[in-house]
This record gives sequence, C-alpha cells and structure tokens, in this order.
Amino acid sequence: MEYVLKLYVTGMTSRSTRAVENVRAFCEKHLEGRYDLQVIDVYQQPALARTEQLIAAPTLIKKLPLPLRRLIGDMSNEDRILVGLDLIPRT
Amino acid sequence: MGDEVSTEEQIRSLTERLNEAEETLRAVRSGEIDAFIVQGPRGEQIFALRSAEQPYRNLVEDMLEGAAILTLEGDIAYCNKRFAELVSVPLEDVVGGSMERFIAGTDRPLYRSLLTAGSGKRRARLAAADGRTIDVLLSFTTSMADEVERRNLIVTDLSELLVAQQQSQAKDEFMAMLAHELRNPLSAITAAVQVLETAKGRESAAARARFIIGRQAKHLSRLVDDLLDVGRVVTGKIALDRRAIDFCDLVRRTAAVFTDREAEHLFSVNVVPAWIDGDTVRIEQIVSNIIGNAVKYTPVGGKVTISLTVEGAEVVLRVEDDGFGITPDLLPHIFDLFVQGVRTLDRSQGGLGIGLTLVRRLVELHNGSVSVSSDGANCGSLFTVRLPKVAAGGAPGTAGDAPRARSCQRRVLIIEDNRDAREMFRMMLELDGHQVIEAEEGFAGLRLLRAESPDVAFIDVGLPGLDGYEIARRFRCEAAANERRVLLVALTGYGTPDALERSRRAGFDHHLIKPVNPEALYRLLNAEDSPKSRTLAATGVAAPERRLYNERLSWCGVEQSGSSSGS
Repeated sequence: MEYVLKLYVTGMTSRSTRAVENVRAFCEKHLEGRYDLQVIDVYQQPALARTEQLIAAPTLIKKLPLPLRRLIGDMSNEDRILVGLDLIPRT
Repeated sequence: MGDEVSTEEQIRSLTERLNEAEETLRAVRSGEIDAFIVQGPRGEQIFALRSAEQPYRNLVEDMLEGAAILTLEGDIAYCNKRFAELVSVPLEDVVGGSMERFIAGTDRPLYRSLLTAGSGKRRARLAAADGRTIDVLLSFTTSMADEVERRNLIVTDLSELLVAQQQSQAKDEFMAMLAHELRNPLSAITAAVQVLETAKGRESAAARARFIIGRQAKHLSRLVDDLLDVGRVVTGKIALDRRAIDFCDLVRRTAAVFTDREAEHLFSVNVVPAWIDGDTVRIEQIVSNIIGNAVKYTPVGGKVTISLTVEGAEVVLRVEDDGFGITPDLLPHIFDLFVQGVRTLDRSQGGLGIGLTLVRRLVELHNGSVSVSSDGANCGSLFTVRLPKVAAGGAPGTAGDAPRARSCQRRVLIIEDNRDAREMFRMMLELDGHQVIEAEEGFAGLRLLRAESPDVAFIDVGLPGLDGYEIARRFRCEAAANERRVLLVALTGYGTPDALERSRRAGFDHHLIKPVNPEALYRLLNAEDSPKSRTLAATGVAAPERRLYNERLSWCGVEQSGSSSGS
C-alpha cells in the first residue's frame, strides 16, 4: 500500500526542521519503499497550504490511503505517529 | 438502516475530529509547533512564534552583503549591520534617511531607474560617509508586506573581486611581456653565436658578437634578479644590512658604469661629499635603476644630468634627462608595479616595469623618499631621491672595485652535470690561471674530492647520483679531523633564504647563484690569500649565515669581517 504524505513546515525553524528529520526517519523505518513524502514550506507556497485548512505548523497530512489524517507537532513521538497514520489501531 | 449507517458514520467522523482537535491542543501545549496559520478574508496569514523568525534574521544580519528595505520613494526602512558598515554610518543613523545619498553622483540616475523598476541588478559606486567610493553590485527586488509595497536591496562589495581581476590581468600581461623580454636577449645571443661560427678570421665581427653575448647575458641575469627581488619586495621580505656609506663615491661609481657603457648619451655628474646609512647593494640598486631608467627613456644624443647635494638633514640625488618624459596620466602611476612608459619598437633597452617599484620600496626601507616630475611627453623627466644624511664614516669606497691583480693559482674541482656550464666554467677558471679537475656526477665528484683534496670545490647542488648537499655533508663529516680544509662552494639557481640555509647546514662555505658573477668568483678565489679570510674559511663561517636574506652579497661573501667564530 502506497502512502502519500505531505509535511507542512515554516521554513527552517527549529521544530519544522526537527519534524522533517523525524518524519523521514519514521518513513524509512516503517514505510520503506512504499511512501511518497513532500515537504512544503508554507511561506514559500502559501497557495498549497490554503487548501489544507492548516491550523499550525508543522503539520503532517496523510493523503493516502484514506481516511485523511492530520498530525500536528514535531513528530518526535513514534508511537503517536503510528497511531495517527493508522499503522496500529487506536487503543 | 441507511439512517443508522449515516449516524454511525457521523459519530465516527466526529470522534476523529475530536481526536484531531485533542492532538492539536496537545501539540500546542507541549510546545511542538512553530506557527499558527489563520484564515483571513484575503487568504491565510502565518503567525510565527518569535523563534521562528530568528533564522531569517540571522541570515540577513550575518551575511557579508549589505541589505536594506526601501520605501518606493527610496527611504531606508530597514538595513542590516553590514550595510551600515559599507556606508560608514552608525546603524541608528541610516534608517529613515534616503538611500540616494549613499550613491555616487554620476550613478544616481541608474539607481533611480532601478528603484522605479523594482527589480534588477546593476554595478554602481557607493559614496560612503567617510569619503570612500566603493564599487558594488545593487540587486533590487520587490515584495509586499501588509499590503505595502517595498523594495529589497542587496549591496555586494565588489572591491576585492575587482582588485583580484585587475591583478590577474596585470599578471597575464606581465607574463606575456616577460616571455618577450626573455626572448629578445636569447635571439641576440643565438644570432651572435652564429656570427662567431661564420666569422672566422674576421676578428672585428667576432669581437662584436662576443660583446653582444656578454651584454645580453648580463641583461638576462638582471631580468631574473629583478624578478626575484620584486617577489621579495611585494612580500616585504627584504632585510637591509646597514652601514655608513660614502654616497658620493657610490653615485660616482654607479654613474661610471653607464658613462663607460653608454657613449650614446651626454652625461653630466656633479657630486658633493655625502654619507648615508644604508645597504650598499640596495643603494646601488636604487641609483643604478634610476640612472638606467633615464638612459632607457632618452634618445641617443640626449642629456642625462646626475647631481648630488646636501639639503639640511637630507642627501638629495637628482637624475634629470631630456628624453621622452612622462605623460600626465602616467605620472601618478609611474612607481606602480608593471607600469612602463611607451616602449620603443625594438625594445632594445626593455625591462619588466618593476625597476621603479623596487626603487620606491627600497628608498622607503631606507627612510627616504623618491619623487618624479615631468612636463609631459618629450619634455624629459626628473627623479629625486631624498635620504637621511649621516656623519662621514670610516674607509671610503668600501664596495669599490678593487684593482684586479693576477690571481694566485688554485686547484679547483668542479662537480657539475651540465656539460656546457661545466666546460665554460672550466675555461673561465683556467684562463684565470687555476688548475681544474672536474666530475659530472655526485659519486665520482665525492671520490675526486677525497682523493685530490683541492683548494676549492664548486659543487652544483642538483646532481645525478649523489646531490651536492649530500656530497658536502659526507665530505665534511669525514674530513672533520683534517687540518687542511677544502673550501666548498654551492652552485645553484636558487637564492631564497631557505636555499641559503640549506647550503649552510650541509657544510658549504659559500653559496653562488647561477649565472656565476665573474667578479664575485674572482674575489672568492683570491680572498683566500689573506690570512684572515683563510681563518674565516677554515672556521666555516659562511656568508649566507650573515646575509641570509641577500643572496647578492653572498655571491661575494668573502668580504666579511672575521668577527664570527667558527664551528
């Protein structure tokens, strides 16, 4: 199953850069070879952010597989991402 | 049934949104976010936390370019520290003022058109508050902030870049000229050799050819010397060996070299007794460069007037000619490196354009000054050198040409791998009455040195087999106990302090730089006659030790005092 993920960040701010690192590491560990991750700077591409109804940054959005999921924060908690992306069931 | 599914679906969706909201709150509470994104009537706005802006601020504040945000009218709304430094105005006095005041007058129309256009890059000159004019690149962009249009300006200092470009260009031109300058004497020598071969029986032609070979070889040597010197001048590595000098005598002797040689000009030399504190070799260089320059730029039949006067605390040397003169545009740059006047077609007296640079630097090293004046093209020129006067010193004419006596006969060993150089060197020594043996490679050379124990051994340092340094080391090591000491002289193309030091450490007594100066060679071979210098040689005090930074004197290194103690 192919995962399409979009990570919305605000440039090179500390939590944003941390989120990029964390998500990349997470994907390599749990979704190796079956994910497509795009990192979008909301400063540089505000038009892309508009459609996503973002509240805060960084935000990770799982576009596929459905259902769509949003995760907010620096993605430092691996378990929370596993749950958030429906990789393990919610308790 | 359908309604039930729908309700169930709604509950699931609500639960998900609740989870999401909880997640968001948790992330906000635990400080995991950088910015809030708020939807407004005109799209979203990003509210970054303070830390979120910091990296951009650092980027702009710490960059090496000047950055400023301007209003459409060109007033400075913001600038970074570097910008304030560039225009030499305190940061707090820049903001609020007009940008235009920092643009050089003639570049203001260009600046205004960039400001209006709102985008583009142009080279311009900045007029800093301290009076400097700085070559810069202005890059304009436009951005909107809070519905207000602003101009972003980046100012890049091009000074270093331009200087580097100019230097690189000057170097290229110099290399081209150098090749030309080296080719000229070489072609003269080649032709003269041809004349020697075919002029059998016509002694006058042969004599003329020999004269030309000698003169052009000397010219080549001088070019190479200048090259070596200019390197040291540029890097400030010239050390002076100062002593009281009879300047009057020195000027007279230096002028005599030209008056003897250049019968084509009318010389007038007026000197008064005057003493200065200086390095004989360097002072000679100054005087000879200035007189040589006058000769070079004065047509045949022209006048060269050399005068030496004492004015107050200064000794003043004036060299005036009625030659080509210096055009007003060249005048301010005449002492700059690689600058030369218009050259004559044949360039028979060519040079590298470094002589006057050397002169100025050397004069300054002697706490003096040099100036030039000229009324323009074909109005001649006047060079004036001023040096501090000192009280008259000891024996006058310390560096004078000793009358050449017949040399005493010596047994000389030459170890040199270049056949032609060896042969010519041998002939030179034999004509001077010495007995010569030779070797063309290191091991054979060392064997001869041990077996023959000559008075003097000239050893090329770069030899096949055993190199010259190794020969000296081994020989010195074995011969330490010998009472009779062989004078070891290094022959090399290198005159750097490192090379001199290396020779000294290997155990050489002297360090001769190729091409060997016949005068220095003569002095070296004959100074060994006097008991004092015999002691000097026997105690192993080498000239390089005293004059590490001046290979010229180390050529004739036997003229030192005997004050040093040996090994």
